[in-house]
Amino acid sequence: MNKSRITIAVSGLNNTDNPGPGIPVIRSLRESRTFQPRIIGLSYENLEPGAYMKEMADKVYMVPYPSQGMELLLNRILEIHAREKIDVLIPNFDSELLPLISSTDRLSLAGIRTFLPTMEQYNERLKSNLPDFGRKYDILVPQSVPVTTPAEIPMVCRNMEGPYMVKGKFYDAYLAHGPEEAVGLFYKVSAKWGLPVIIQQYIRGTEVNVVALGDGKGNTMGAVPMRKQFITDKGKAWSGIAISDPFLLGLTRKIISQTHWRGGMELELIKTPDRRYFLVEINPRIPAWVYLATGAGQNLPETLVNLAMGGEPQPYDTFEVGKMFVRYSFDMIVDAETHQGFAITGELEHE
Amino acid sequence: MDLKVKPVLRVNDQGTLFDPETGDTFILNPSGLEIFKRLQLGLEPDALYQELLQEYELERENFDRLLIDFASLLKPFQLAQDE
Repeated sequence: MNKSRITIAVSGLNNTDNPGPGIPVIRSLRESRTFQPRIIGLSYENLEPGAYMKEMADKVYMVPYPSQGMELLLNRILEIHAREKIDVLIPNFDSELLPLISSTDRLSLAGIRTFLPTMEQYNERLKSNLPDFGRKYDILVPQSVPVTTPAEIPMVCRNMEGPYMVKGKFYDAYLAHGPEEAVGLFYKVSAKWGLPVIIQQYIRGTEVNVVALGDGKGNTMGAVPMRKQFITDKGKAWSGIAISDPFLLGLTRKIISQTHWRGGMELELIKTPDRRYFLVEINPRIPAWVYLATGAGQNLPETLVNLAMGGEPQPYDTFEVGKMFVRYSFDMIVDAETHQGFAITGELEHE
Repeated sequence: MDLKVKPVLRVNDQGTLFDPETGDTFILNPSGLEIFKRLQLGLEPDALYQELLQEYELERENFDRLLIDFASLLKPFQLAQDE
C-alpha cells in the first residue's frame, strides 16, 4: 500500500529531564501505518536535544517563544510553511497552545491544519478553574485557590488542610508544608510562569495518569491509563506502566463525552489508599509519555494527524496492559559547527 | 472459607503476580504459586486440598491454617475476597 506523504510540524523537542512531548510524538508518527511523515521540528532553544536527533526531525527551525509576541511566532510559522508546506501542526507546549488556538483560523486559511481543543474547552480545565470543573462534571478534585499576591496565602492556608502544592499556571508544582514555605514558592513559581499561582491541597496517594484523544464530537478515539513507577525530583514519570483501571477509563470517556473534547489530553489523578480518585490536572495536549500508548498498541499521534487531515480513523478500544516505559539519558556527539550554524541561521537539516 | 481471587490477575510460571488494574506486581513463593493457580481455576478448599494431597504430604489442619494465612496476605491488596 502506498502511504500518503504528510508534512507535520512538531514543537516540544526539549528532550531533557523534564521532557517535552515532541520526540515521543515524532517517534509515534514515524511508526504510522497510514502515512509517511516529513517532520519539521520547531525549536525554541538552540540546544533542545531533539533538534540534534538525526532520525527524528527531517529539518528543524528555530522559532520565537510565544512570550515574545504571538505575531512573531505566527509569522515565523507562516514563513516556514511557505518553504515546507506544513500539512499539520502539533504544538506540544502549554504556553503556545492558547495563542495557537486563537490563531487556528489564520493557520487554517494558510493551509495548516491543527487538531486542538476549543477556547472554551481550554479555559474550562485551567488549573484556576478546576474546582468549577469538578462541580460541573461531578468529579472529585482537590481544593484549589488561585492567588495573585503572596498576602492572600496565609488566609487560603487557614481554610485548607495542609500540606499544599504550589503550582504554576502552565508548569511546575512544589510541595509546601506551611504558609511561609508557600509564600517563598509563590515568588519562585510566579517569576517563571506569571500569575495566578495555584495553591492546591496536597493529596497523598499513587499518581495515575491517562493519555487520551477526543474527536471533538464526544467520542474517545483512544485512552491508555498509566501508573507512575519512578518519579524524578521534578515530579515527572521516568518509568510507568500501562494499567487497565476501569475507573480511569470510565472517567476519561465521561469527560470526553461531556466536554466534546477535541485533541490530545492528559488527565492527572491521585488514587488515595481508600481508593478515591482526585483529578489534579487536565493538560490540553499530548503528554511526554505518549510513546507508552503507542508501544501498547494505540498510536494516538497518528490518529490525531488523521483526524486533522479530515479522515475518519477507527477508535482504539484495546491496548496491551502491563507494557512499561523506562526513560534513559543519552549523550549525543555534535560538531560545534552544527550547533553554531543552527544558532546563527535558525535552521538545521538532517536529510 | 471460600476464597475468590480477582479474575483479571496475571501470574507467570516464575510466580510473578501482576494486577493489571493497579499495576502492582507481587512475587509468590513456589507454594503460593501452586495454590494461587488452583484458586484461579476456581477450586474450593476441599478440592484444592485433595489436589495438593496427590503431590505433597499435607495435614488438613496445616492446610487450613496456611490457606487462611495466604488469604490474609492477598486480601489487603484486593487480590482476593471471601465468597
